Amino acid sequence: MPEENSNNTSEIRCPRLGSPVTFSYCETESSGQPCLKCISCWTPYFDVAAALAEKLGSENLDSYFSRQPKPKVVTLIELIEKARKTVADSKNNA
Amino acid sequence: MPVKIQLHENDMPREWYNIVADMPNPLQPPLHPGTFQPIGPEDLAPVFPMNLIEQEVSSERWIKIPEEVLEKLLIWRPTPLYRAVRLEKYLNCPVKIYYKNEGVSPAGSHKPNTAIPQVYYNKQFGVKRIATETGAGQWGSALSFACSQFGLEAKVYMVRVSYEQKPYRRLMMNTWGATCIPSPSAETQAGRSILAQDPNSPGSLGIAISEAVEDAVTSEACGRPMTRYSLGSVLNHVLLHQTVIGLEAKKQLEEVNDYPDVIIGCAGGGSNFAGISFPFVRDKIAGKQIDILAVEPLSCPTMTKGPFAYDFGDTVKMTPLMAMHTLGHAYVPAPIHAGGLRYHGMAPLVSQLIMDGLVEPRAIPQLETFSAGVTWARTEGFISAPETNHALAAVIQEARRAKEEGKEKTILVNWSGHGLVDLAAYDAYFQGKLVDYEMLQDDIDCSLKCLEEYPKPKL
Ligand SMILES: Cc1ncc(COP(=O)(O)O)c(C=O)c1O
Repeated sequence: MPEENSNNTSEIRCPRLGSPVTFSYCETESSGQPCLKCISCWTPYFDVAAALAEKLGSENLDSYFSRQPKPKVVTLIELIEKARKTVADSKNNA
Repeated sequence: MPVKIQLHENDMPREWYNIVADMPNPLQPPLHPGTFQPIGPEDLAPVFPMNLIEQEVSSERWIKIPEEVLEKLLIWRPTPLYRAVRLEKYLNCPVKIYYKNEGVSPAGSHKPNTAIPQVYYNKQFGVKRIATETGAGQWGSALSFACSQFGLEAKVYMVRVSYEQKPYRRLMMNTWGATCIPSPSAETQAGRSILAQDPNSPGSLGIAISEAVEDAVTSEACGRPMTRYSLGSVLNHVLLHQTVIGLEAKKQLEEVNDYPDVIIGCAGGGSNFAGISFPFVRDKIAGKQIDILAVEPLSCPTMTKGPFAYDFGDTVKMTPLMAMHTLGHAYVPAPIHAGGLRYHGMAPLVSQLIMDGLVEPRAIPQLETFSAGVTWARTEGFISAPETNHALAAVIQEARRAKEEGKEKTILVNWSGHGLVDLAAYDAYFQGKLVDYEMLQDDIDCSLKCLEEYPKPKL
């Protein structure tokens, strides 16, 4: 693992999934954007902050990682709303 | 001195213990992101049956375990309480170490303790099918087992990257008759929209949960049998179901006239920790002196470093969320520290008990956890799940501390699951691929300062 991680072949164990992942997974885990744990998980292995600064722009890096993940119950409420909209849309299109 | 303290089947607990009834400070209600009002039972009805929602919001101290649930739990319960005599000898410290072996369940962890009652209550409510998400498959396999026991259909959306790498838990799910598909899938709108952008998407837990919830919410409109969603940790009813662990352990310790000075569990979402500890937290509230440690990985300190506050879900302060441990949304982090500081996911009940000083969080770096897991395997024999290794590392720390302090102590730890399907993680450790780093306290202090202006939940 991780001498050179930017080549995306090395793996670390994702504590959320419980299985090995490459950096390319972590940098797109959240709807195409980096997982909020990405920096802490990969820092021991390579200069992940620099790699992400390239992707997000260094000016956006802090604000991106300042976002809060949502608590489970709130996530569920939002997903219920989204799913209901899916049903309503498909009825309208039918 | 017995190595295994077995409970008779007739001595299985008949009620779950609900700590909400005894907490010195009531739980902060989660707030609806749209209305800012507390989230109520009706809000959750599309995903959970009302009988489980009633448990989620209940403040009754004891909740009867239905006979049908007891009957299924008896397949592997009561679980043995072991005395870790070989580890004690190896450590040569003035401690007695007891561990509750939750790895003896059919799925190999504590997760079926809640999967069984969840499926039962769904069935009682008329639900025919349950959808869930899983990462590496611990929860998915537990739910699949439980559904097979009650004759419900299980649909598991497994994050594709794990699905492709980890065939064994997927095969366990199939063996129990569940349908396990890689997420993103073409079966939901949420999955299809991801696949349209990237047909090779590896998926994520966020996508898988979206698919499972959509599956449940749209089931009837789409002509599927009545479906609900199920979650394996974090929520109050899940923690409630896990209290059989601690209730059994208490009886088992009584049989050998012992009582713990220290109780230890690993904490991801908090369910197995709650299971072993909550019945003892009750005693602590009543005045007992016990150290109760919730152990998490050092790289994601959800509990260890942050204060407790209402937090906001976005940078423009639009979304008041649940009261949880947080490091503050206004924190502009040094990028190198950001990710770990900002990871949440701990059960609100556990967060509250930490705030109340009843539970102590502890973070342990991963190298130390694997070292403890290997020591455990070479003394006690069992190969632990990587999550469980966090608790074992804390056991070793506490034993050594007892020696330094010259105090005799009794330690109780929850051995939450075996690691026989996780040996690749041990391989990475043996090959020297794991590295540690710790955050600097100065940076944490700086981030905490940002929280000072925010409203604190009433205690
Ligand atoms: C064996 C084992 N222990 C502990 C955990 C952490 O979960 P929780 O904190 O909900 O007990 C997991 C999660 O998958 C697990 O599989």
